[in-house]
Amino acid sequence: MSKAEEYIERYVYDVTRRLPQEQRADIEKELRTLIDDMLSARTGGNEPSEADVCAVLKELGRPQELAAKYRGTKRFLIGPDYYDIYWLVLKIVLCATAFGLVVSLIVASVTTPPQNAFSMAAQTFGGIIAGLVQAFGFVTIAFALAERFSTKTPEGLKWEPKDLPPVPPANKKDVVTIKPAEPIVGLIFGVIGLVIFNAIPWILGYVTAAEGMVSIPVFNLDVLRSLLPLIDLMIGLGMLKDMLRLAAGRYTVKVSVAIALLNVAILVLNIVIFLPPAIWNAGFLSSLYAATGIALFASEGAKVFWMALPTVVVVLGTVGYVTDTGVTLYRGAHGSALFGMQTIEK
Amino acid sequence: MEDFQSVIINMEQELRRGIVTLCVLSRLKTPKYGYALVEELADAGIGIEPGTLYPLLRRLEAQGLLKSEWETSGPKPRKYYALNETGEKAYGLLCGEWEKIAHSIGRLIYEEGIE
Repeated sequence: MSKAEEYIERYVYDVTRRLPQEQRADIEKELRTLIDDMLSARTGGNEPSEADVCAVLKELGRPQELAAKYRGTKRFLIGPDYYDIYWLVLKIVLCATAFGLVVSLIVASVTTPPQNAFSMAAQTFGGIIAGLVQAFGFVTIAFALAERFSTKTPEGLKWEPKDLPPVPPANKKDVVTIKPAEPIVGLIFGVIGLVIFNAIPWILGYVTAAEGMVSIPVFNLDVLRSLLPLIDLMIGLGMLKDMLRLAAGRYTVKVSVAIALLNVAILVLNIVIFLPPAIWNAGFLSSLYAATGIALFASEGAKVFWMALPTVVVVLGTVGYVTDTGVTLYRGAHGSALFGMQTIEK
Repeated sequence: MEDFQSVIINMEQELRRGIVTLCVLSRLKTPKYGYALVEELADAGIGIEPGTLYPLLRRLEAQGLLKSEWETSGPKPRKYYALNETGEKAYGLLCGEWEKIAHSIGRLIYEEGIE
């Protein structure tokens, strides 16, 4: 095979391998004749040189571009419909992950002194990069799946201008629009919470480095570990709530009801996890007294307070979730009342 | 700022993209193969790259406007395309649309004092 022929073979193969199986043979036949025609036109029927072949193939364009024209569709992982929200979520997740990892790695390196500063720096850096890559991967996969399975039939793409959401009046904007700052802060705290509960739960408590590393955790770490799936679910639902707020951008009845339902689930988990005394460290006060020698920790008052702590935590949580639910439902109802006229009158 | 030259090239391409289909349909009342069409259109002053025309022919066929047939008796196998009944109808409608556009553009560009 001459060099010129070899170029043609390779070009035709590189184009057709990118095409659907059932079209390959047909397009290949047509493409070969086309190249032949273009060569004849160029050389006037003489034997084409290697340079002639290269010029013709360049005129036809890059194989992937020609194949794309034959396919007629653009191929992408994440299309324009999801791109904006993908980019926003990616930024938030990467920032939150970086922040959480930096905090946890600093804590870990303070508590278990590494051999030398260099290994610590390398470990920290490596850990953060790996964590960021994972976060990037998860977000991208999630959006790629959404893109892949979203139904973009002509029916699904139909829309009516009358379905456009109304612009909130300037003086009521604060009631119905959701500023992104709030859910973003929520998401960041969610990530930090996940890192703390999963990787370094002992940090919640009395931590001292006086005589080696001592931690007196407020939680019973064994019980905590067995309840981790529930805790992660609770934090995850909280983050889902924030993502919903972020994606919706405004309160409507639907959004606020969804948030209210999520709040109910989180509230139930909060009670189930934190109300039973088992998850709390029964020996917290006595260990604390033994470690510090402060008499206050051995007093009756401290004991009463410790006994009441689970209830206090759960009650405070409940008040918080009920308030959030009430405010959200109010804003949702208000949003819909404001925009009772959901469609534009002709 | 975008380079002026590339802005213009981009605009010209977009302008041509719309009319190329009409030009192709106009030449397919009789069966033709791709490269003959490229040359014929080039002679008429409509330059279209083979890499654009060949996929376009297939798309028009997939849309049900063209019929095609392989001619294998010659020295090279060639695929001939021609308008079918739907294609002829579509061509007629497009011609009507083109006349309207040409008329309107003519008024906009050449006639002053349009209210």
